[in-house]
Amino acid sequence: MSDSVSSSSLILQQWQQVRANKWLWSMLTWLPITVFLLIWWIFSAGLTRELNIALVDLDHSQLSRSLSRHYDASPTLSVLDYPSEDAARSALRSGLVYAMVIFPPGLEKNTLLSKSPTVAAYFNGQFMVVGKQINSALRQSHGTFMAKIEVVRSLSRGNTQTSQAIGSALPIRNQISALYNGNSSYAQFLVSAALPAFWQVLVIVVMILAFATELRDHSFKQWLAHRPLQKIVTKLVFFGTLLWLQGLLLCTLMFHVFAWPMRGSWGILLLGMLFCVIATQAIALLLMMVFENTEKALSIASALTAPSFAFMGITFPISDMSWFAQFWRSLIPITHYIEIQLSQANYGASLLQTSSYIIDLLVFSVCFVSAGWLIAIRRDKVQEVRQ
Amino acid sequence: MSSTLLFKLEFRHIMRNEAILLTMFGGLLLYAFLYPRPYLNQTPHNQQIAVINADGSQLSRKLERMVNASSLLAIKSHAFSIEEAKQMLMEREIGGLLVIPENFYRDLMLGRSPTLSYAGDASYFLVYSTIIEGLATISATLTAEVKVAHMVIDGVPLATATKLYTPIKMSSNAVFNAPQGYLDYVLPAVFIIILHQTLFIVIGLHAGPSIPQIKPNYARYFSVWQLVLIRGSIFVCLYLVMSTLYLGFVLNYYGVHHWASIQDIYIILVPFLIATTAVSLCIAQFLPTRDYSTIVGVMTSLPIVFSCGFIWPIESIPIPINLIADLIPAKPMILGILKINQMGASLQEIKPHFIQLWSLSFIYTLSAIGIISFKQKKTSKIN
Repeated sequence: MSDSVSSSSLILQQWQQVRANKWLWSMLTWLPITVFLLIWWIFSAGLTRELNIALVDLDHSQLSRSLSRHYDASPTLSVLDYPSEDAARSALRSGLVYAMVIFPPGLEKNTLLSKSPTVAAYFNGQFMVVGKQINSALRQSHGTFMAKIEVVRSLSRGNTQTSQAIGSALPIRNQISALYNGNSSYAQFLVSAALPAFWQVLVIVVMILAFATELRDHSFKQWLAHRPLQKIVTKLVFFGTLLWLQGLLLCTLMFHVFAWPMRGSWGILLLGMLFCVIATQAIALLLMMVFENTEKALSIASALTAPSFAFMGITFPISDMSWFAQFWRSLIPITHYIEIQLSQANYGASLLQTSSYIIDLLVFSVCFVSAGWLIAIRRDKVQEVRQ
Repeated sequence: MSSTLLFKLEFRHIMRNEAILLTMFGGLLLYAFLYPRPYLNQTPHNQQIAVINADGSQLSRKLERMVNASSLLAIKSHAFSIEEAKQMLMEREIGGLLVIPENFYRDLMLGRSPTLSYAGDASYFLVYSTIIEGLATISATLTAEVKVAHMVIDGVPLATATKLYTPIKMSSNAVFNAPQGYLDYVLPAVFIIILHQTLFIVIGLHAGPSIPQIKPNYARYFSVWQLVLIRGSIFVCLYLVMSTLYLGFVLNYYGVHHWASIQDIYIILVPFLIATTAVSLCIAQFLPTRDYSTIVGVMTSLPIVFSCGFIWPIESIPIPINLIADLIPAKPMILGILKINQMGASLQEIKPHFIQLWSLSFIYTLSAIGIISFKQKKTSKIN
């Protein structure tokens, strides 16, 4: 009887701690959703459109003008005319345009003479995403224009039919599909990984702050003097639930509000999220038990979690990472979670196929919780002996 | 009281604060080692794909050999149905697939334009773009070969035909970061963010209020402008050293190409550090205790990374976000240093960023002086 009373009073105590700390309160209420929406808003355009490219037309012919209009018609590109190569170069260097295209003098003449002149395009490789998109848009646009010319050319000889002319201009057609991200939206690809990364930072910070409220004179001795197990577990469960609910909110946002496809089971996804919370809590517990110092625990927690986005393997393939990067990656709980999220949302994988990632998180939590626990107990014993 | 005394006091306090040392030296060295780790290979190679070859002709086998010869791609296995390939995709054995349709060779020879379909898993963007780029190049090469073959059949000499497969050629090249390395793309910008965030954290750890107020607050014996200028210049100097390490040695170590002269880099670095220091001094006044600076630092890092315009073009970011981001010193600095150091722009060409950084420096320094004196008046009234 007394047990249940004390555990409900413990929960009440947690609630009071949350209400007392303005920062903890905001991190468990309005702050996460604000940041989730903010990050989504940055990428809300989804696709890049109308990126400026500089065009230097040294030919000034009908052909060069219509080719230029054809580039401009591509939804990705917006053509700006520059009088000279120098001006275009300067614009490229100072970031006003992302690419520079040069039409050589005699473009039309050489084309009519079947001399195959070359149009030179230079795209900015420093802004890689934009550069790649401009490159493919330019090639595509150029390719269709060339096919048009060829069709007209062979039709003008008068001995072919339209279908034959198209066949010789475009001997092979390409059909390209972006699987699991239909319109290859950059927003969906980046934001669906960035939001969990932010959520993990939130989990670890909230847990460290939650433990920090129990620190007296840089020590947990007083707090853990009675019923340490019950106290730690209550704290983990109380804050774990709230943080897991934030995760639920995050998934609701992604798969309902932003309406990204979700092909798998919500059960597995939420289970994965739960284990991710536990594993992250375990790190916070260990750090606080070892250092009994908020500043240090926060420093180390942020060193671990801040670069987690880079280690997720979403932007850069895991298979091309060095062994050390892969090892470090496995120490960050969210990298295991993101695999679960991808396999559920994109592939609709079964529980069996997802189980390895869940087990990783589970092993992770067990190791860290027991390490934290051992440290807490051992320290108490050492102190008892000293006294 | 004298400025030298304040300088000594401040310097001693900074050097004795373990959390500051841990973040400034430990953190920066760790990140310099850790952050580039995932990207050391620079570009993804040999992405695994599955081939569904429903044709089985000589030409389709040639196509497969072309795929294997490409440095971007490697054939992991042959699948007999789309379902089978999908299963492999789900188990992450492959990142994409190529379908060679039935009668590919025959249709090609008959001029019926058969369709080569290929797909990549777009949940991994770089994997996707590598696979698509690889396959598109191979398809274009094959197309050119077929056209040349047709021309030769029509009686055009081979030497001429190889030049004339298209009316106007396009040669497209990446400039700046020509090999399209990921390290070269990400490091120069992310290093600025790391410097920016850690500088903020360190200043918060020093200038934020400590509760309970154990140490005597010597700050009130000095005038506010003295405090701001001396405290600020200590951090600016410390970070000049750390930035030199980052932008000089570490970038060099990872082989990231750089254009700007040392002098030009310092010309833009100094206002960046002043602006960052000043804005951090302002924000530090609003923290409940000094620990919270780490929290603010780590939680703002992702939104700042995304709003600085090197991941997602500024033109595509909503205007309100751009306006807010313009108040963050990291944004003009990243755009400025990328342009002078990676893209070979002159100082004249990055003038807007330069002016923005100096304006931010002045505004934030004045605000810091204002906020601190306001707070001191308030506390002295209470006392």
